[in-house]
Amino acid sequence: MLIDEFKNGNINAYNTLVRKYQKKIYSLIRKMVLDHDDASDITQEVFIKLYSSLKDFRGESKFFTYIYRIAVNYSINHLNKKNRILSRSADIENESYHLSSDEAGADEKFDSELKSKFLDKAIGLLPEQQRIVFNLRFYENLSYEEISQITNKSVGGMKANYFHAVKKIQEYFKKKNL
Amino acid sequence: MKNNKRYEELLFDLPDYISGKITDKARISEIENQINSDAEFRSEYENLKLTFNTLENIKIDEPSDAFFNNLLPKIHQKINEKEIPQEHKVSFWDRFFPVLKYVLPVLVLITFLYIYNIDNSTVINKFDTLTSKSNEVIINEKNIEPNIDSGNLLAEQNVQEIKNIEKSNSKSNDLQIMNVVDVTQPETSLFFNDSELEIDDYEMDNLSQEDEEAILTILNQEL
Repeated sequence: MLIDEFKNGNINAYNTLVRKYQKKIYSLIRKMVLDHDDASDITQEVFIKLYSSLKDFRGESKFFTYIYRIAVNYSINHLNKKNRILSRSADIENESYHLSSDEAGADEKFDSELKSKFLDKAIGLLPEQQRIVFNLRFYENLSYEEISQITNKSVGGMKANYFHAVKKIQEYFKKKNL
Repeated sequence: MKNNKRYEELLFDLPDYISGKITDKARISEIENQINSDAEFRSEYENLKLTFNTLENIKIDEPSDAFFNNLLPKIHQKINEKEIPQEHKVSFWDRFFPVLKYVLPVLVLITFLYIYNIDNSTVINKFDTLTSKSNEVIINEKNIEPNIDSGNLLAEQNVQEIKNIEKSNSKSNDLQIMNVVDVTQPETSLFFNDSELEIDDYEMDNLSQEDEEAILTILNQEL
């Protein structure tokens, strides 16, 4: 309905779509590119692309599949352009996590931030395809069929990618004593 | 091979089993049997479970509401910025053409009216005035009866006769009235009677020398 209204020239329909999907799209992109400023720019580009391409949307797939595909592609393009693998500085790489019983309660916020950075690092180490599948399965809770439509890959491969992604994160956490 | 493949399939299902995403009871039972019967499989299960516990306890930093509130205006601003440069790309011709497409038909009509003027007196063929050589073709004039049809002015011209003429010595650039010589009356008619003129071409070509001299003598006498 919103899409049809937008095609008929109702700009408020587009605004509603943006407000509805902006957090999810930002979250997905943020976990792909691991940087807030980059994620902000790419999120805007995704919705600008949506503005110009939505008139051609034929409804053959679900709308969220359509917009997620745009977001994933833009994220991959960004990563390829930046040639990034790791997003954090050396101090994180050399640091490992040590939690003592005295510190845990007193500095929870710091611990949480550190774990979050380690998680970003671990995800940043994943190969591109595993990173996409892990984010879409664990954080977006999408089915393998939906992930397959977004990535245009086979369903069987999605499950294997997910397993190997979790195993790599596990190995990184173990290395950092997380 | 089948056992290894089956083992791998169960292994790949462990993350979803741990997350509670598997709903097939038969599958769940099969995985639990494997956990209980296979130490290696059980070790994989426990390690993955710890990882998922850590993942679920890590809070993901999210931007403030202000960031998302400002996102839509930024998007529209960029959309407008992408559209505005296109306006600057409009060329002079693109701006001039909308005016020209209304002015041009009017200009054409005015030009048309000028060339084919609606004066009731005469219609002059402009092209004849441009030639200045001998054997000009002159169109005799007739009264022009303008025929106004749907705003267009048509001039009907009657051409009475067209004859070959000799050019006069007039230097005027306008239409010249030439002396018309009736070519049907050759000069020989002034000197011979009708019966004498009844000489066909064949006979003229086959006159004897004496006949020719006689004709010349008569002509000299008359002159």
